[in-house]
Amino acid sequence: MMVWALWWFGVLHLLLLDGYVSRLTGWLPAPALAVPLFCVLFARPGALPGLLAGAALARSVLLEGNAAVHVLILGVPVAALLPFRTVFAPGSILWQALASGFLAFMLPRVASLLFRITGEGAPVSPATSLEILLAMCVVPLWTRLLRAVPPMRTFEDEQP
Amino acid sequence: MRQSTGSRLFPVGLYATLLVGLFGITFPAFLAPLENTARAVVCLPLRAYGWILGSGTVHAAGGAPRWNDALLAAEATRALESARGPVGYHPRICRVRDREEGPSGRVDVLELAATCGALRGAASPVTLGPALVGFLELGEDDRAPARVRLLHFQPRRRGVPLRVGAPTLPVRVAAQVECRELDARGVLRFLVEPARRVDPGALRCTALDDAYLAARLRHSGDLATTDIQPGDATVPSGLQLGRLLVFGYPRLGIPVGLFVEPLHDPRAISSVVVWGRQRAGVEGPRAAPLAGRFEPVQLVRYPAPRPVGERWMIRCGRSLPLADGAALVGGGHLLGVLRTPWTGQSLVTPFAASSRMWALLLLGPRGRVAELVGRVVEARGGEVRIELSGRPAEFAGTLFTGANGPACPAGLALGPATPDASHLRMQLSPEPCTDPQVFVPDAIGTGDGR
Repeated sequence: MMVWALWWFGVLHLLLLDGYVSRLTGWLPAPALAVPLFCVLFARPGALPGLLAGAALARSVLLEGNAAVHVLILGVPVAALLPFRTVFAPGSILWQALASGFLAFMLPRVASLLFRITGEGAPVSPATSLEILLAMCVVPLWTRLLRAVPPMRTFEDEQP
Repeated sequence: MRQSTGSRLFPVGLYATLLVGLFGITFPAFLAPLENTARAVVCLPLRAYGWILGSGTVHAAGGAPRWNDALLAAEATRALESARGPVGYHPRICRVRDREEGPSGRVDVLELAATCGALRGAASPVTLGPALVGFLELGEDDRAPARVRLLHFQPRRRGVPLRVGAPTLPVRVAAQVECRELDARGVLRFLVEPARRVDPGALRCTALDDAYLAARLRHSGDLATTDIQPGDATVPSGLQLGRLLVFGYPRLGIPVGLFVEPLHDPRAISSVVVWGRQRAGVEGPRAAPLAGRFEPVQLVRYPAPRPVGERWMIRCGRSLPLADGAALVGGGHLLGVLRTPWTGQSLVTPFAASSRMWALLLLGPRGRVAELVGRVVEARGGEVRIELSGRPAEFAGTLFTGANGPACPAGLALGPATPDASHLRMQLSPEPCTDPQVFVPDAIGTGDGR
């Protein structure tokens, strides 16, 4: 229970850090991308609803749109990548880079699509090729840092 | 317990969460209370930081807003320009307080900042300049706000309609258009009624008196005006309704339907003219701004992920009922609007980071004023680019807010703006905000709504 409370309050601080990093450098990929990448690669399937709900709620505080929209923005790409766990090992660097690139590509597009349909949220510019390439290189490092935070071990999948 | 591969790759919980998300965007009002409560809990750290980091001094009392007299005068001039009303009635300018969207997806009801009691006895037609906008709707409760049903108003259906028999006819207005084409000359008379959602115009032309003349129409754009109304003597003839739209294959000689597009975008209308028996006061029929006051607040800024960049939080010195969408002003300019407020605190969406549609007023040289609708699409380096919906801006000037809800009134300054094709480029105020204040509206029935 304590771990979940730490997650629900802690993910908000991760997004604040994301905003702070964005202010310092416009080119560094968003640290918040580590959350969906963690869900795709390492999270326990049973923990996914709580992880996504907490992240969506935190995003709805700091970004435009309600929590339901952010659940879909985060959850749809995660659901699309989850089946590839049978193909790639979570420790594979290639798999981490590909998944990071896919998330950097898909998240803005899903957000813009939902904005066009529902009017919730905000239109987001699609990521450029350079931004996707940087995400492929840097976001796995962000995820490694996120996994080093003690409560995150509780959410990791023990089965290979 | 070891899970099967299928349940690990396609977890039921994940898809159930996505279904809940889909339900949430389809029926947002259903999950809103739960979401607001959860968000208030998650925001507890921000609230704590706000108490520690809150900047500025909370003054003892707020103050009355100062409105731009040039804008008020320009709006009054525009509203009364070539205005025609029923004989024996006098014009009174009323502020639009709120809007309501109808089944067609278009705004078709305007709520005025005047009570039914204050407008009791007023004539039915409501105008704006030389155009007929809609009809006044006064309820039985004198304290309730008066409403204007626009011409394309459609009745709201509640529940499943079980009654069979004679259908309820929509409100129809007798209209006419002077046709000036080479092989189609003459006056075409018809009735206009609310169009359906799929129709290209807001009003549909029906009961044409000369189908052969209508069949020869090729070009859109002619001005449709009111004809003599058999059921309502208070509606003068000659009031403008909108531009005729010939839909179909007119160049092949096959016009499928005629529609009328109203002259004024209902999302942009900030004031209308109601015709009453009493003459306006000494100052003339000028519309006072929405009655209310500005309360000082403390403002804390937090970093936020892209594309927002920054999220604000305000804290009031006293516990006040903060309204969702209330305006936050500072240095005489609109800074943003409140979002999901709770007692004494609220998140704020800066204007430059908002993605909603804004009703805007552009005050230009020589007292010109234009009502516009637009959305912020880009904010960079102190400049904001607003994409306009519908009519483009024709001149540069100072941008103000239009009527954007009961707590975000028309007349709040935004900044100097210049037109750029279908966009507006606006400069944000470079001065730091030292006196943030929140607009708290008075109840209807005070101020303008007497």
